[in-house]
Amino acid sequence: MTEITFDLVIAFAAFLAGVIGALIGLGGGIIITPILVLGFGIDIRYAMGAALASVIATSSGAAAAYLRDGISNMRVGMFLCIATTLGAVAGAFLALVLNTNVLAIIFGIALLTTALLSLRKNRQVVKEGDPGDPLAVKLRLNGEMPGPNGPIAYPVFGVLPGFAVMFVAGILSGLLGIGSGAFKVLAMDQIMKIPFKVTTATSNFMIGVTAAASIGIYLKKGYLDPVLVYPVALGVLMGAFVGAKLLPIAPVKILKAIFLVAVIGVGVEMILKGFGIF
Amino acid sequence: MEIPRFQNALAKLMLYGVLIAAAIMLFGGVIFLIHHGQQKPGDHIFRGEPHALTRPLAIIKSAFADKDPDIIQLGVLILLLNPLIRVAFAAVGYGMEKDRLYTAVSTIVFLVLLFSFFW
Repeated sequence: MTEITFDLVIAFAAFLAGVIGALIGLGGGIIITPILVLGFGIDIRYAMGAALASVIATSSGAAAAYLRDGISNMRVGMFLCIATTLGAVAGAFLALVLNTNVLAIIFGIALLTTALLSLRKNRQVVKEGDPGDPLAVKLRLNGEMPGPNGPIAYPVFGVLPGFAVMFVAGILSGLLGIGSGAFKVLAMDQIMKIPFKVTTATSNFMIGVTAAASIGIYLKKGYLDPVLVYPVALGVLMGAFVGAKLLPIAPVKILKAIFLVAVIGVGVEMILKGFGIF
Repeated sequence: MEIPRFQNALAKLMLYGVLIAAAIMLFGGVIFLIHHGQQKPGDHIFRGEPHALTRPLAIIKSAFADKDPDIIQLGVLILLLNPLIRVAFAAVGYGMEKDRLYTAVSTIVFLVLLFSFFW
């Protein structure tokens, strides 16, 4: 295969990953790395670098739209970014010293966990008039989101536990080259009880910032090969754009079910690869 | 509504930042393929990258020396620096609104990012 065919095939695979990611609400990173590693035999470190770069591209595009609509909570996002960026720096340094087989195994486990997390139903049991976490009041984290009859105010809960889980999400992001959106959503939705729309929008804003905290370290260590990054990032970006347009007409439920089975399969395959069985 | 005024400007900044980065990557990629399209691809073995492709200032320098993978890497660098600019912009925005707490929060995040790129 020549470079030009190889790049076109990779760009197309990345495009599909971007479409699927946008449709079922998973970022590019967790999909594209296994494709590059298992499908194209690319070294996991190059794959992680390219995936993380594409994560920055898609999350910035999506976050821009949400920010304009006033759905994301900038203060929550910025505050929690302290935790995720510190975690991401720690995770990236950890990735430098870990064996690639160990990375593949942890990646597989993260895939399986992500699949389980996306099966979970959103639950929101916030009592009427509950003021939320006193610390949230102090930090002015409580926010408002646009509603049909004007802005709707919402309180924020569990600031410190949420912050702690965000630190872990940051470590995973830096360690595996993923946006770890599923884990960020878990912290904001489940622990901090932030409305789901706000959670998704804010998580998108945070993913890009978190990814940037580890990608500088990847860059210096040579994980970012421009020749691989450009087909991946451009492919995922275009795919995400098309996916967002398809969202209103796509059979999202069926796609999600098919895809979750695939994610579980790929997760198991990554783990087996890490153990040298596959 | 409590949307800071700079949030709109920030949204534009983010969108254009990504588009500019994508355009440069595409341009560099096409030039790269014109020169090297027929050779064998080689990302199966990890070799790391040369200095000219791993340090922000070196990338800018060699991209203007007009070497093709380096032009792509300039696009990649712009993409990566996007969030950094975004956070700096937020820090300034909060500063202008005299929101001390969130100016400090944004500045901390900015410093962590700065460390990541320039350690």
